[in-house]
Amino acid sequence: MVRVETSTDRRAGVTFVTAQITNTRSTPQTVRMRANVDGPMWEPRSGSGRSPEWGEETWETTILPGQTRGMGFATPVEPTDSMTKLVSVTREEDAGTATRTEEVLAELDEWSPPSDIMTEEQ
Amino acid sequence: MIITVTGGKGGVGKSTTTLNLARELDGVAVDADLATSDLPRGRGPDIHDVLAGRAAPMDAVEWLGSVRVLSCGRTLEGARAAELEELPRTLDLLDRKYKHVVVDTPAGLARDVGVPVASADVVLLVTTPKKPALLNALQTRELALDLDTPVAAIALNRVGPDSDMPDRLEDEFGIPTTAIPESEAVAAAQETGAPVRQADQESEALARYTELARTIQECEQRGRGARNSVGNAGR
Repeated sequence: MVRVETSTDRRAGVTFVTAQITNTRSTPQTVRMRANVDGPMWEPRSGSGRSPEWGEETWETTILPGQTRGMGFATPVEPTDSMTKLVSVTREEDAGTATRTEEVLAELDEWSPPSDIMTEEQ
Repeated sequence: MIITVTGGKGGVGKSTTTLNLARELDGVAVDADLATSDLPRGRGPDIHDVLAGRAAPMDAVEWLGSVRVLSCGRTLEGARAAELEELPRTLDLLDRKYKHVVVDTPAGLARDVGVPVASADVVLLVTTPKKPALLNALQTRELALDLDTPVAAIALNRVGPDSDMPDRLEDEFGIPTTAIPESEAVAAAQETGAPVRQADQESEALARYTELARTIQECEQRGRGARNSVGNAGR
């Protein structure tokens, strides 16, 4: 499973919501979270763009076994007990890794025995 | 555990390291240098036969002195008939039977290095302190990282007693580095194709190979269940 721990901090009329998501399974898991607020929410922005994990009001990332990732957002809504919602947890497909290995190997020079080196006969 | 011994440059001591590490880990040394092999040659079927489907991997492993070896044939015909694509399955089968499978690779960065690196649990980089060898080792390290195989250790061969190179390598790359001095014991062992333990039990070189084996074993214990977190610092 994944474990979600959410905390809030209210300052100057703004509630800052943070969540720590821990993958307690032995395989990589893709986790989707949503802001569970009745009102506006402001996700963090890096530079002029949205953080890569954020889509339309959902946050998605892949977490390796035993690792913890953090997500957060701000909202003018008063704090409640459940300001984040775990939407889905799916196992990351292993196929991606295999394909990548094959791609790296395919880029390498092909092997063939060089005829000028082998001299010793059995 | 499959440990692939590699380093890019030829003549830096990969085969010697493979043989000695296999001896110290009580594992099997696999000669995957299919065209220019350096490990001692056995009498029975070899890895060419295995990769051509003519022999089972277990049937080709034999004791050569005090170490188990899956040796390599020396003929061009044998090398041509060997299917490199069969190597991962061969290593996997050996891994089920022996606790440690130590794989010697050729020089270079072609697919005959990439395949055993991709098949391994960890890579052991072998180099000398000379610049061309170090550059080749670093390229091999990049390849290992691209293939998601962690680098467990560096064996730094022919290093002088006062060199600070081992410490510098450890600091720079975060990879445990064992310095193996050039010694008469290693040369004598090489002459007979035997591991150092068989030639000189009191030598400094043997102590270093023992240390290298311990590093690999520690890596194995740490790496259980967290394969990709071992030895990849400094990427």
